Amino acid sequence: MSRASLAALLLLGACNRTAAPADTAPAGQAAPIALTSQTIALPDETTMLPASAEILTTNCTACHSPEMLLTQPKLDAKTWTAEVAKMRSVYKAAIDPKDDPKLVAALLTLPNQK
Amino acid sequence: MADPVDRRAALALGGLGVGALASAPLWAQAMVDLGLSEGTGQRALTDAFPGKKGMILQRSRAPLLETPMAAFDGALQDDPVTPNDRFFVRWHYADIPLSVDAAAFRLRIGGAVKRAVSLSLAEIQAMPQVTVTAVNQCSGNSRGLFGPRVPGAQWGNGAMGNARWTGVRLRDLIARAGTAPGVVQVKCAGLDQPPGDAPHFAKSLALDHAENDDVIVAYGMNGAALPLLNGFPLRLIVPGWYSTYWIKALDSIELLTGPDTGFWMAKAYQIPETEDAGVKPGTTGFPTVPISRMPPRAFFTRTTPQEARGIAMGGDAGVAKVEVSLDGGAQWQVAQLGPDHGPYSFRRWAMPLTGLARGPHDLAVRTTNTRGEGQKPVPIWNPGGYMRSSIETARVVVA
Repeated sequence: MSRASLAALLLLGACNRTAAPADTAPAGQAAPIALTSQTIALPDETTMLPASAEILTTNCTACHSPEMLLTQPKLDAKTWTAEVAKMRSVYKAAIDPKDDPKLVAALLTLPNQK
Repeated sequence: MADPVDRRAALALGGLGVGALASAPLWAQAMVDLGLSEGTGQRALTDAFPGKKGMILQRSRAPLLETPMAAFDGALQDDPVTPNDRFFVRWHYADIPLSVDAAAFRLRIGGAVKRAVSLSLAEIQAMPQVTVTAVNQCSGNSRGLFGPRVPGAQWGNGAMGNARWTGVRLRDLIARAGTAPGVVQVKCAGLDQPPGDAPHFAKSLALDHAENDDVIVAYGMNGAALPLLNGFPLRLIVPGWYSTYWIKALDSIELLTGPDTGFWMAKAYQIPETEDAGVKPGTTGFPTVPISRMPPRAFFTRTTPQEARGIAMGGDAGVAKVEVSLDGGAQWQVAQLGPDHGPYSFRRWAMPLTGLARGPHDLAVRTTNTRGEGQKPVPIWNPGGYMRSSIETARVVVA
């Protein structure tokens, strides 16, 4: 037996032992995967918060687009207050704690909260 | 009840009027209803994201795109992988990689190592290659179906996908650097950046888990490079575990001699330390553990008076059995199973329906994995909206 075929058998053995349970396959069975540079552009954001909710645009949309607010289920003031506090303490949103009551009030007037 | 048939019913946007929905962007193609409570499930369908089509828009920045259940549908013998252009997208922070130079990219392996290494994509592709078919499911998949509702991304059931991942074993990469004495965890992070001083997104696996046969660093997804939105050029694949561990645009592997105490391991993605990860609604102050393995789930992808069919996953074990009930869960019949693509893959199931009487029929589907773990009829609740895996239902009306 040639050295090459012995190596192939050893490789098969190794793959059989480790690969079979997870539907894994050894190298060389499919075309190689070409890795070429990628560049994309995300679509322009067009979803807006209501004009009356300017304080939310100012304080929330630096980090995420408005859909995050507009798709939330009805939440009570206590839950919204905790969300605002989390955005400040964990995600370092520049929200003045003095604005919290106004922010929560504005959140509660969003169309999805009525 | 989340009826996948209703959920798939897309209405022309023109008929609804763009102005009628505050969260519908101008570039939306149509609307879809996720069947969430309180009528809050209206979402736009969009083709606007590069390399993606027909996705449910949850959030444009940082992108959250859900896969419609129809994209998972197929006949029993059809390949159960999710096409790359329909695969769900979930990023935490808005600053995500939008351009990656394949020649300049390096994966750094450091921390408690014998020698820090920095590997090019060509060097990684020269290493022994493996492929594993595995379901990638968001920890919060189906959060929008929780009752009572909880804050967070309001996903229907489509924050999941199944792909054939090709790459190299994480343990082979670790061996290139060599483990220093005392390594207990492997911390992985990617190219996405937090705003300001917010915590960099990073997740850690125990060393013995990281060195499992199935844990790989993938450069291929269904035979092609990953889309940037799914983590090009490299993504950590942790079969059987929730997607939070599947670090996208992976560029840093750090070996740790103590547990990772960072925010994303110690504070976020925590579940109640109970048998089913559930607590009584409203409970606070319970002991928690980081989310980890997935339980089994079965889904409907198509329901007609002639046939019900769908997909099942075993979680961290294979699908042993799928059963369908035609009477709301009282009696169960064994469904046909499609080909087995390994323990971590979706497996297709089908149930021909014959002789159904006129009128409505409440169908249910449940799966049992190869370790004997099944699904329960009553959904769990926890404040994070994690790990929903209860039995799915669908209504068929015979005219």
